Amino acid sequence: MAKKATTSNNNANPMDGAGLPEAYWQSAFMNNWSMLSHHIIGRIGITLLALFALMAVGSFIPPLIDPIYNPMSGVDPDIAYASSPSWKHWLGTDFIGRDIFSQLLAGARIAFMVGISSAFMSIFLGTAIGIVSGYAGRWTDTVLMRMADIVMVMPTLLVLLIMSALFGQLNIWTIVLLIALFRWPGVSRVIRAQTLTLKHRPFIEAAKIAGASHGRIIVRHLLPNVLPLALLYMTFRVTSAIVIEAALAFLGFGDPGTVSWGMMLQWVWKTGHMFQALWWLLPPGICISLLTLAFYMLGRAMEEILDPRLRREDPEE
Amino acid sequence: MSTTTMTQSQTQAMPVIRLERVTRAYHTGGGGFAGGHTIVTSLNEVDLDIHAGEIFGLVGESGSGKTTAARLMVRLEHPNHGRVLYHGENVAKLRGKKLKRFRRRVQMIFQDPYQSLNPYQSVQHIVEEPLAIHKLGLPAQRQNKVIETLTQVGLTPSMTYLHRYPHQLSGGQRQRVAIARALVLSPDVLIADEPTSMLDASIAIQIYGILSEVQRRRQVTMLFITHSLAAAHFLCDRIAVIYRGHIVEIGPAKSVIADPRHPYTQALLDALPRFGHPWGERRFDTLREIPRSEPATGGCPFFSRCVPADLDLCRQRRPALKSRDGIHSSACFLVE
Amino acid sequence: MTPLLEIKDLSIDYRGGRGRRTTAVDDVSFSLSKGESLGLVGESGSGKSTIGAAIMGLLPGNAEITSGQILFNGEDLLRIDAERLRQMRWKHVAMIFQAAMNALNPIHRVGDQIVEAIRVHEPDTTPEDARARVSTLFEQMGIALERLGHFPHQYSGGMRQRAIIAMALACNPQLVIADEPTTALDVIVQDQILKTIRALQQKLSIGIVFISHDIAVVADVCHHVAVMYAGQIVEIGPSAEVFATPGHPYTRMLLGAHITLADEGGKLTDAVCRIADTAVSASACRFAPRCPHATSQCTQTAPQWIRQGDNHWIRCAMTTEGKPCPPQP
Repeated sequence: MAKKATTSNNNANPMDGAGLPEAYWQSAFMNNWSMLSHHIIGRIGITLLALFALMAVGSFIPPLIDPIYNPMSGVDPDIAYASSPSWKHWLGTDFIGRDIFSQLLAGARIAFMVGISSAFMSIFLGTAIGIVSGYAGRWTDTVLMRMADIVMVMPTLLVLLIMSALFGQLNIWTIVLLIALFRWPGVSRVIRAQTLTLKHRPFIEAAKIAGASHGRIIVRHLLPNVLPLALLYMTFRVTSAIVIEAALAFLGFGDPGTVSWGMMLQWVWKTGHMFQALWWLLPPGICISLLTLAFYMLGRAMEEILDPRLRREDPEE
Repeated sequence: MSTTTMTQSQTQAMPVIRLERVTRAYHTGGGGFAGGHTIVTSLNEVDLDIHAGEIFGLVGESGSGKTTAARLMVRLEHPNHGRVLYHGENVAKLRGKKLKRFRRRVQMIFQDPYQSLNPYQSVQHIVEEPLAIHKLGLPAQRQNKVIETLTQVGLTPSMTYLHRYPHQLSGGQRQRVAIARALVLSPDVLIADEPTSMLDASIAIQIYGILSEVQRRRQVTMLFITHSLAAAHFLCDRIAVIYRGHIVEIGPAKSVIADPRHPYTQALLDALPRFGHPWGERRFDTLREIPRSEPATGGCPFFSRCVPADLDLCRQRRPALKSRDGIHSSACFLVE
Repeated sequence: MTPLLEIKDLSIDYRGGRGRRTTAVDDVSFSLSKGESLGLVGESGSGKSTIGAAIMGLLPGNAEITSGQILFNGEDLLRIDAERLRQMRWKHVAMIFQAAMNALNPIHRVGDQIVEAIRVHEPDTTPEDARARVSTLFEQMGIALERLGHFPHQYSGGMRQRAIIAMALACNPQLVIADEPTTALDVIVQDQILKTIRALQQKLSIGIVFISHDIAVVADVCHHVAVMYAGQIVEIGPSAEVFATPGHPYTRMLLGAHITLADEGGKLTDAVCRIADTAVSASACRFAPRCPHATSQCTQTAPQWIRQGDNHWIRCAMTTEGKPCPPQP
C-alpha cells in the first residue's frame, strides 16, 4: 500500500507545496494577518492603535524632563490660568497651570489600561461561563444563562453611578473590575453558542470515546476552538469599557487619583472652560472618539476575517 | 433471534458486543405553532451479536438507524429500552475504572475526516492523546508508539507527518490519522461508521486495505457501517441489513449476497448499478414504486414498499428474525 | 452536421489568494451530438464540475477562462452577450445540481416555482399552459400530482431531486448538465432517478453531460465517457469500450478501485496505487507520480493522444498501439 509511496515526495505539503509544517493557529494567524493588513478598515484601525500605544508609552517621558510636566501634580509656577498652546506647553495648560499634552499622554495610558484589563477580565469570565454552560447543558446551562440575562439587562453606567454614590469615590481598579463584572454576559452568550455547535462535532466525540475527561475536553478541545472568537469580542469590549470609564469620570465619579480623558473633560466642564478653552476641550474628546473607533475598526476587520460569510472573496482551497 | 441461533451462540464464546432488544427513540421538537413533539424511533427492539475477531457489516440507507447503533455501542448515547453489552457487561452501567477500561478497548472511526480531527492539534498530538489520557508509557515511548501506528496506517515516513496539522492533509490522509488515533490504544473493538463515504474510490479502497490488514494482524473485532452492500460484501464476514430501525436480514456475507431472502435486501441488490455486477440479469422486483399506506400499528416495517407482501398478515404482525439453517436469518413471513 | 455541444481546447484557471493560480481545466476538448450522453468521470479536484459550470456560464468570480471555445449548436457561449446567455440558460441548456435542497426556494410551493421558471423564460406561455406542462412533467417523473402544492421541506430527498429534474426539463432544453445528481442519495433512490433520467433522455432525445465520480453510475447512464485527471481528459470513448478495454493506467486504476459484488478481498493488493503529493511540471504526464508504469519519458514529455479504437482515444505515452494524432475525439 503506501509502503510504495516512499518514492514520491512525502514532505511536500499537499495544500500548497510549502516546505515546513506550521501550526494551525500559526498559519491561520499569518493568513489572517496578511488579510488584515490588506483590509482597509483594519489597516486604519491598526495605525491608529499604534499611534495611541506610542502616546501611552510616551506618557512616561514628560515628567522626567521637568516635574512641572507631571500630569497630576506638576504645576507651571508661572501660569495660574488656562493658557493657550505655547512652546513650553504644546497644548496649553489647564486652570491651575498643568500641562495638557502630558495629561493627554497619561490619559492614553489609563485608557489602554482600563480598556484592555477590563475587557480581558470580562472575556475571561464570559468565555469560562459560556463554555461551561454550553458544554454542561441542562440545568447548569439554564442557571448560568438566566444569570447572564439578569446581568445583561442591568444598565452598567447607572449601576456604577449608584455604587459610586453609595460608596464614595471608586478606585480606578474597582471601576475596571466592575465594568468587567457587568460586561461578560454578551461574550458568554456568543461563546456558549459556539460551544454548542462544537460539542457534537466528531473530534469532541472522538476524545470522549478515547476516555478524555470533561476538563480535558474543555481545555484541550473546546477552548482553542472558541479562543479566536473570544479575542474578537475582546476588541469590542475594550471600546465599551473605555466609553464607560470616560462617562463615569466626566460625570465626576472617576478615580480622583488618575488622569483620564474623561477626567480632563470633567475638569474643563466643572471649571467653566467648556467653550473658552478649545485646546483643553478638544484633545481628550477627539482621543476618546478615535481610540474607541480604532478598536471598533480592528474588531470589524477581525470579524470579517474570522467569519467567512462576511468575506468578500474567498480563495478556493 | 431464533432458538437455533441462540443455542449456537451459547456454545460459542460470549459475543464481544451484544444488543438486547435495544430501542432508541429521539424526541424532535414539533414545528412552530403545532406545539407537540414527535418521536422518531431510530432503533426498534434490535438484537445483535458481534463475535470476537469478525468484521461485521451493518448495511442500511441514511436514517435507517445504523449510526445510532454505533453510537450506542461506543456509549455516546444510551438506549431507551434494552441493553448494550460488552463482554456481558451492561455498557450503560459502567462507571469509574471499568468505564475507563471500556474507553480503552472500544474505539470508533467517524464518517467525515474533515470534522473528526481537532484543527488545533498536530498529528502527533491527535494520535498521542489517547495514550496520554490513559497514562500509557513515558513520553518517549509514546512517540515511538505513535510512529509505529502511523506506519501501520500507511502514513510513511511517519516522522514527516508528526508535526503536520489536519488542514495540511488530504481527506485520505486525515482518515488514516483518524484510524491511527483509534488504533493506538490497541482496542479489541473497532467501529467504523462509513469511513469512506467522503473519499474518492481510489482512496476508499486503500482505507479498506488498511482496515482488513489491521483486523487480520490484530484480531480486532470490527463493526463496519456502510450504505453499500458491495463494500460490505467485499470486507465483511457477516452482514446485517437494517431498515427503519429493524434488522431485516442477517447472515454470512456471501450467503446474504448470493441468496438474499428479505424483499428489502433484494430491492437493495436490484438497485446496485449493473456495471461489473456478477448477476447482471438477476432481478427480484420487490420494491413498490408507489408506497402503500403504512399499517397503523405493528406490521412489517417494509410493508408499505413490499411487492410480495401478504396484505393481511404483513399488515398486522411484525415478523421476527428466523432462520432455516441457523446462520442466515431474515425477518419476513414470506420466507418461512 | 454541427454537434449539439462542442468544447475546444478549454482551459480554466482559478485565482487563489496571494496571486496564486491553479489550473482547474487544462486543454479539454470533446463534443456531444443531439440525444447523446457523455459522462465526465474523475475524482474530486479533477476539474469536472468546473467544466459543467463553464458551460452554464456559472463559474465563480475567481475563475478565468484562459483559452478555448464552448460551441452550443455552433454558437460560442463564451463570446455571446450576457442577455443572450441568460435566455439560453434553462431554455436550451439546463442544469441539475447535487444540492437539491438549495436549488428550491423553501418559501414557495414546488409547483408554483416551476410554473414561474417556465414563464420567466417563455413569457408567452399562459399560466394554464405552464401548469399543464408541469403536471405532465410530474407524471413523467413519477411524482404524485398533489405534491405540486407542497413545499420543498415536505419532499423527501429523492423526490426533491426529481422536482429539480422536472424543473430543469420544464423548458424542453436540448442539453442538460447533471452535476453529481445522485451523489447524496441512497442506492434505491439513486437507481430510480437514474432510470428516470435514462428514460427521459431516450424519449425527449436530450443531450446530457453527466458529471460523476462514480464510474458505475456513468457506465449505467452514458453513451460516451471522458475520464478526467488533474484537469485533463486522459481517456475518451464509447463507455462500453472504455470500460471493457481501458487504455489509460488511470482508468484502469479507477476501475480497479471500484468495488462490485464480484469482488473478493484479494482485490486490495492489485488496485493499490501510489499517493501523489508532488506537483508535476506542465511538460509531463500528470498521472506519472501515481502511475505504476511510469518511465523517465513520462516525467519529461507530455503524452500525445493515441487512438485505441474507433472513437476511443487515450493520452498516455506508454501505450504503443496506434500512432499519435491530434485531438479529434
